[in-house]
Amino acid sequence: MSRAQANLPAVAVALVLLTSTAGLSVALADAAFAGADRDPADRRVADALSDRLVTESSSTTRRANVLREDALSLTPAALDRSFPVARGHEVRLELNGATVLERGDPIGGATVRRVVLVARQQAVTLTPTLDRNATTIPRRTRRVTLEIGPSNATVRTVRANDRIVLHDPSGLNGSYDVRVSRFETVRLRFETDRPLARGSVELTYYPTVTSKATLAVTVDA
Amino acid sequence: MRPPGHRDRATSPVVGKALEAGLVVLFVGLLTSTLFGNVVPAYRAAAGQELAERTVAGAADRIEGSVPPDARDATVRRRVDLPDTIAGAAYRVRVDGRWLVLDHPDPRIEASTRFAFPDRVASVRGTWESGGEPTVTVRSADDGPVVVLRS
Amino acid sequence: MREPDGSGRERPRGQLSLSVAEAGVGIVLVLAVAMGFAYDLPGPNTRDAQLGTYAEDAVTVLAGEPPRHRGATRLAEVARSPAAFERERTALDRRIDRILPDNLLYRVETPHGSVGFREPAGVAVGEATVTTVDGDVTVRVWYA
Repeated sequence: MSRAQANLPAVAVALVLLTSTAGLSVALADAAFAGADRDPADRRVADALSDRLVTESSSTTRRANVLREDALSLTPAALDRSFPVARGHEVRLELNGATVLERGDPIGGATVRRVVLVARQQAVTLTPTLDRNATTIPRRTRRVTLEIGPSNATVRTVRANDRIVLHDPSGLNGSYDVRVSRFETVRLRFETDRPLARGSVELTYYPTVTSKATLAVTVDA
Repeated sequence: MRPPGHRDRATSPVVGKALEAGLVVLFVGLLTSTLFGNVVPAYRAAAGQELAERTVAGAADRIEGSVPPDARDATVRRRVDLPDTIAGAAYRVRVDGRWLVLDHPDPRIEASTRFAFPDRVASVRGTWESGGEPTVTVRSADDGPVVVLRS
Repeated sequence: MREPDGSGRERPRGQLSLSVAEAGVGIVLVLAVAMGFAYDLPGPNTRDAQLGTYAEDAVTVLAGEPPRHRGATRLAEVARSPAAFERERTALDRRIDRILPDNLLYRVETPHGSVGFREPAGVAVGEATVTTVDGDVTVRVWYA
């Protein structure tokens, strides 16, 4: 009978349609899965590397979040040596938008931005006028180099803000590097037997000038 | 009038329906076996791989975050959350040198990441079994902090 | 079904269309499930993490700066007393404005008062706190 005959090809056509629909759904699922690929490694390495770059004890920083002036002029090999987490990944470091280091092409990777200061250190030398054997250092500095030469008086002790930093009963003579607090203005006091003349002490202090910057670390694992 | 021998041209309705039914059953069987044999396990493994990568990245972040900042000489003991199973199976997270590696019984699932510790960290060791209570302990030793993973 | 009168004409109704209708229903069902895949997953929440990082950085930078007059650090100076806060608030405002990128707004909260912009409701905010000897100083940042 023709009905039975006609239904078979109809069923076959229907099944072909269903198969192709199933295939289409699997293709859609595949596309959705690929689109959902987060690749957490990108973000993790970017986070970790940016942390290592700005942390206190890093070779690139003077203190936490303060970079040395030429800290980022690294080669990729040097970056790998100092920060092994970046090994094998494509990395780009930008400071205020300018690329300072690039390996590969990390387009499509994760970016982490850090707020930093870039510190430039200067050395300023002056021969202070000693007012009652004391002088104030004009800028805040972390250390001072004192050049104490022979003069009319023997300098036995040097105090920085009442803290003894140098002491020699037989008299100080030579070049001394002294650490001071950068959080307060330092007043140097020289204890001698006679008032010191100008020129017997020369001091060098190291003020740092900081400028703000944004460090962007982009990594494509 | 019916031409002679017309009965050869058509099959009876019962046989026709039986053919249809057989075709449909064949189709369903074929589709099911293809899906459950190839497609579904492949996607399960792929999803497991994604989860493994994310687990390892998160675990490494937690472990690195447990190391106290420089000035402190403290002992830290921190609990970490790991998924109970990945792709339906238990797994293991272990330390290999300076890498954190996830071992899974399915050979298609594998993830690892490098640690980003500060230089002063002396050593890292230990293993986590999934389903336990994973903790990370940081002790300070003579040459620096020591990080230990315990289940 | 053959007409009983034997005229030889068949009714075309209800023959092919049943299977095709069944197939149509099946296709609609399968595609309905497949449409569930078509939705994009939301991206990972990176904005919150980045804001938190910005806040931590701002606090770290401020906590490492020397004070303008007295105190251990700039942040400690601001938290010391209401008078110190009043004296220092403008300078603090300017300093943190300089440090942070231009697309961020901020608010600094100290035990003696707050400096910065008014915080809008419903936006993602990053927060960081530092404890000084006279109290906590909190910095909150959000995208402008």
